[in-house]
Amino acid sequence: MMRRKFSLWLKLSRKGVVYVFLLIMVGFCLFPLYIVINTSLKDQVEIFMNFLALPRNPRFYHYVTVWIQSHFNRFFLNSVIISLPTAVIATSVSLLAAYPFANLRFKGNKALFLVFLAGIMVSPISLIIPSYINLRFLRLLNSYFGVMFPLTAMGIPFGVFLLTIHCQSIPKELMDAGRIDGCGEAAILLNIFLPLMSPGLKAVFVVELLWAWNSYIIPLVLLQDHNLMPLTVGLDLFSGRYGTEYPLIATGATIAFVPMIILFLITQKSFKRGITTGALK
Amino acid sequence: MVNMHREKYRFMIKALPYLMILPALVIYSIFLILPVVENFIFSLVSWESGVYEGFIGLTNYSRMLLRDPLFIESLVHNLMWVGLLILFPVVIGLVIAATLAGKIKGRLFFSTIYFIPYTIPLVVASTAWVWMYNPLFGPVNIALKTMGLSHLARGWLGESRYALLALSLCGSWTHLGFCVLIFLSSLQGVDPSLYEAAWLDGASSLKSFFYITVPSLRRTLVFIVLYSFIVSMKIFAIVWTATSGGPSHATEVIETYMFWLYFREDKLSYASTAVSILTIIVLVISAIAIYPYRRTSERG
Repeated sequence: MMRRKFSLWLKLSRKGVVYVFLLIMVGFCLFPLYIVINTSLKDQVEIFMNFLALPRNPRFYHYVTVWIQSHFNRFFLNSVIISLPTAVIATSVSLLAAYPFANLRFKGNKALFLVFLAGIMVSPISLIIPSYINLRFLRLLNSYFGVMFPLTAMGIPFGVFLLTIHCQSIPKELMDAGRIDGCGEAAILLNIFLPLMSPGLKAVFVVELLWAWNSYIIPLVLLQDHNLMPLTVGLDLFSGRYGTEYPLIATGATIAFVPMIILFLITQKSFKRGITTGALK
Repeated sequence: MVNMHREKYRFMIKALPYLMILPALVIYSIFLILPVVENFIFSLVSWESGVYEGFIGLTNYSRMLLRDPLFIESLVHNLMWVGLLILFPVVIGLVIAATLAGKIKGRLFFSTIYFIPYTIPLVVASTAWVWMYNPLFGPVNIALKTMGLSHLARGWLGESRYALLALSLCGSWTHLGFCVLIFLSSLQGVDPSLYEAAWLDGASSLKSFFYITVPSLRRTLVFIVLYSFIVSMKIFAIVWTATSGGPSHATEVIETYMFWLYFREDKLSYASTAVSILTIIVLVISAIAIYPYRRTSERG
């Protein structure tokens, strides 16, 4: 009797330890973000009194200050203007390319695919000197397009890779069934292929949007006009100028990262499925 | 008449794949491949401080690899980043994923929360962790002090010995969730009857972890390790925002060194050499890692 109780207790405490471990990791992951958001709601004085505690009276006026006076509304708008079209173009162009890689036979299929794959390894730092020179030549420096094209180019390899995998996971029989039933190629594409691809497309779109939104190096180098800078660069600039104004920087940082978290939380199911399908190739 | 149409039709069918790939290829070539190639070309000439002096072959490379201690130091730091980003996020990610794969309530909740740091810009992550490491009121030092380990509390990012280590924790923090996600989905594909058989044979959980879990994950492990390697080569934003290369180059990596070479010292071709070396390293290692798996995905 005692032994049974003991082994039950052992089992429960093992499970308990596991949950404690998992919860500690939750704290580890969220704590730095808590610090940032927390600081944005406090006064300078309150911060120095106790950095970690929740604010007594959360003050939201920092958000107004940073949003309007420090032009974060402009930075936010720029982030949207730069990342949304980039994601759209990168995803659609990658889809166009993924279909032949997955389903069609042609010379150079493997070689071209490897060429695209290699782009995943390239660090954005490698692009900045030549991009600067090229864009200056193309008169695209310091413009939205000037940033969008390199960002799209950086997003294409991963997009092609993921979408090709997704295309390959669509059983060919479904499309052949459509052909046998007499549908034209276009109808097959629209009614069978695209709906089946839609979770993958959603995932890739969100990934591209995330990457474009979070990109730092390329906008940093290719944009000099403050009115064009996205949130990442704007935040960096802002921190440089107001180094010790912790509440303000925290506010700016919160504005920079919260939208993407919201996006992730909304789309997490298809997002996760899309990425893991690619990894389990 | 019918024959002429059929010829055109056949040609279009043959050209279709290339036409579909073309838009992606064009953007990709002009804005990614071309710059990479240009880097190599720039590295083979002398172009410093706006003065173009012509072709000098591999002189920059020999200078950088053999006579530039700062570059070697940066390279070593890069390798340290690789090691740290593989050690912490991959190992702990695997442990977490293995835990979550069992009978755990709230699996979705946990895996989602762990993934959140992956979604934030590196600049924000860097800023947050700079505050975490603040010597006076940063949570890291405060936690150490409350745990009675105040002799371990120090100015983490300000000391050459610990700056890189401290920064790598920030990098690991961003990367952990991704590893958890990938490992978890891979683990959920493992046949549970294998574990049952092992349990019946009396294997402890640790043993079954090493003899069943790890081998089933071999492919995923390779992918994650390779991906962690690639990620560790893209950490410019973290280092630059936090320490700009560290207290006297303690956190200097190839990316930041190159940035400094070009934007502070105006050494265009020398900076291009650094970046070209980085690109070559990444491509070679990736090729070696993928080579055993080359037969897998492509069709046609």
